[in-house]
Amino acid sequence: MKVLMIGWELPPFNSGGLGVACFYLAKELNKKVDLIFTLPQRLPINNTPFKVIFASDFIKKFSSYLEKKHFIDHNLYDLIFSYGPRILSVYQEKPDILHSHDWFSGPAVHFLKEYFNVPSFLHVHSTEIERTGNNPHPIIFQIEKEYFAKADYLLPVSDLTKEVLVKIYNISEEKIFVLPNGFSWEKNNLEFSNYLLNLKKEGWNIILFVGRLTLQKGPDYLLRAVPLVKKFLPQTKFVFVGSGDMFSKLIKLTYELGVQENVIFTNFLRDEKLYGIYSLADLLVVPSVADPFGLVPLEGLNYDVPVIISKTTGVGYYLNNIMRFDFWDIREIANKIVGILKYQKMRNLYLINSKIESQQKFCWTKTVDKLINLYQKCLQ
Amino acid sequence: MPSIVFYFKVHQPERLKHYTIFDIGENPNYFDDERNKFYLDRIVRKCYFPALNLIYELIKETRGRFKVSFGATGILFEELRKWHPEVIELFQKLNKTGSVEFVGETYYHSLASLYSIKDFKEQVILHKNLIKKLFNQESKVFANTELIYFDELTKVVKDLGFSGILTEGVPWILEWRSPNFIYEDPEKKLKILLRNYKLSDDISFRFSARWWEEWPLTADKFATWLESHNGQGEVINLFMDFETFGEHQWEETGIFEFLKALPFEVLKRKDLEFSLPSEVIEKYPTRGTFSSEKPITWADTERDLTAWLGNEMQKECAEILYSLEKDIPFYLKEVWRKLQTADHFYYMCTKWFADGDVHKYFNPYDNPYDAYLNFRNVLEDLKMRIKPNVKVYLRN
Repeated sequence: MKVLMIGWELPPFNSGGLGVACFYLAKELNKKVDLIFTLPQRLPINNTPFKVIFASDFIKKFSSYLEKKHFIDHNLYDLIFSYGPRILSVYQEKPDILHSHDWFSGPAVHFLKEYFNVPSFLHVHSTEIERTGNNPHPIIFQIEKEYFAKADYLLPVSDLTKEVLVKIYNISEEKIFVLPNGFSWEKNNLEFSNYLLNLKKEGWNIILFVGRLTLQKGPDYLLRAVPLVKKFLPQTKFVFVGSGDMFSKLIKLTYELGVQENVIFTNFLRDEKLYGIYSLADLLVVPSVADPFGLVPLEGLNYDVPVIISKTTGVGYYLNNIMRFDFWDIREIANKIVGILKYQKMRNLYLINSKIESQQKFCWTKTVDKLINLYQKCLQ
Repeated sequence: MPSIVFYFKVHQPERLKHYTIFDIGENPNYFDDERNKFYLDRIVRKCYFPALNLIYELIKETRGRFKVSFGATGILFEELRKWHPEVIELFQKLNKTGSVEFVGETYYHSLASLYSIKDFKEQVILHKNLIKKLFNQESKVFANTELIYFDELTKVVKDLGFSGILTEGVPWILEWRSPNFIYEDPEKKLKILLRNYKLSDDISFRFSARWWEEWPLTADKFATWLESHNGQGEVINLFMDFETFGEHQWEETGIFEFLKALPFEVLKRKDLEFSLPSEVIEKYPTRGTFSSEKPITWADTERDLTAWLGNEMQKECAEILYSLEKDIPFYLKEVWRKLQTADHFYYMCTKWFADGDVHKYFNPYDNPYDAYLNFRNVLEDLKMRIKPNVKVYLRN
């Protein structure tokens, strides 16, 4: 079986979970099918475990399109709509399946589907509705609506996203198949921050937030819980890892709440530095307002940090051993943080059980087997 | 002529409020009346009311030959008194037929027999007095919480005035022997009635199971199975939660029709009869010794305590709770005992996968860790109220 996968980004040139998910999906899929992965522009990527082709040789200083949610410039618009023809200019062999990711590859996959006349899958890692807390960018929303409808099959990463597709995008349920992400449970190298190591030595608790500082990820709700936690456990440091449009608002809020002593912003970190922080944390909090899947909870568990998540974080739908809260319920966030820090027996048992369950439920081999099954069904 | 003994466990816990760290030292009300009333309303409507009325009719129609025993906890009667006194009246009406027995229980459906024999005794006496007061019955047979049994307990139970005890017919203890006889403990203190788990579970678990090759189960078929024990058994003990009727098995499954037809199907067969626990221990001789040094229960496939005390959270909470016994002032004793109710520990059970569905039943929590956190916060508050000088919040 030949699969042409239309991608957008790959690590290390990724802005978040999408690139990571694409990488592992393609890596695992490549073992079982004939896979070609496309990127819109040439990037200095080599040694990928699968074949990558670049739709354009033009190398532009890479900036992430995903971060600038409310800004679509002419270049980006052009890139999205020329992506399909450009692929065709460098690659002409007819595949059996087309598989694309999120809205920005929607027009491309539609173009290629018309050209090759083969089934198209659009993998929905998140929708604009979820990313913006129901305040979508009109152009992006329009592109999504049009190309979600045009794709033959949609693959949302969770039931939450499926619901959005059905209710808000009016997509018929028959063409939707939920495909939960897998996760790669290998441990990577760690780099420790001396500052945090010292804090630990002095007996501070470290509470971690990892994600873009945007409305969708809900960092402000966690920040508002800081004074409540501080009342019970004054030596608690909240570390916010990530960048985003909410940064200055969060800084301001930190001062308003008077919790400068208890809060650090590290900016965006990746790889060794990020993993190092995970492994020093006592607890990871994921307060997402809407997160279709959410790789961060699994990353935390991989580095042995217990995780609590909002009820609107998709990964929670698959786990029994997970503590959840309403993202807006600041007192409950504080209650759970203090409880987990105070009651060590529960913390340990919780960590072990949620990690074991996640490892059983999320692995790329399982996801890929399910995906190939779907491919075969749709080819018949 | 085998005697059929029905024992229905009737119990509802007093569930806790959502109790956060902010409530510790501030809020002395632990119990969620609103939620408890909500569950009780539902269970009265779906189970207690229709099932008790039906049993009353059946006793009348069989002229007292249909007999059942109840293991109703004190904590349930308290809730009924508050919100559904008509159900207590219904129990009293049933009691007047003479075909109903109230078995001894721990008042609070507690695990006290494992932690404090002193408090266990007090709770059993409280329950005994309640049954005496409500029904003018002297309970002679005892059923511990979740049918917990271990050899050492028999002396204590005997001293409390009981001559028999109910427990699970655990197959690996019985080995080749049948549960359908009266047994006794090694020291011959008590007669033992063993639950026939196969036939009991046919009603309580499998009744509506479409995967079961015997589905649908009719009263006629079930009575035939009972009849087939003729000559190989003297008592067939059918012990189950009363909620089986209308709640675990919904009305739509036909469970009430089954119950309605069963007495007649049984009594039609001349070799079968219904009896009460206190009757069969008088009527039949003991046929062997049943012994378990370790506690057994009627739960899950393991028949052990792991549903309540299987993980570190459950053990820690139980240890903290019972360690407070020596300091608990009289005005906090009732609250302390209500916290002993086994359900609070059941909610913290983490062995989800095989038996998970049953565990989730009427469970107010999303997961066992939330259940622990809530209960543990309550314990911290209780600790503070016992020793107001101790600042529990100073870390270590």
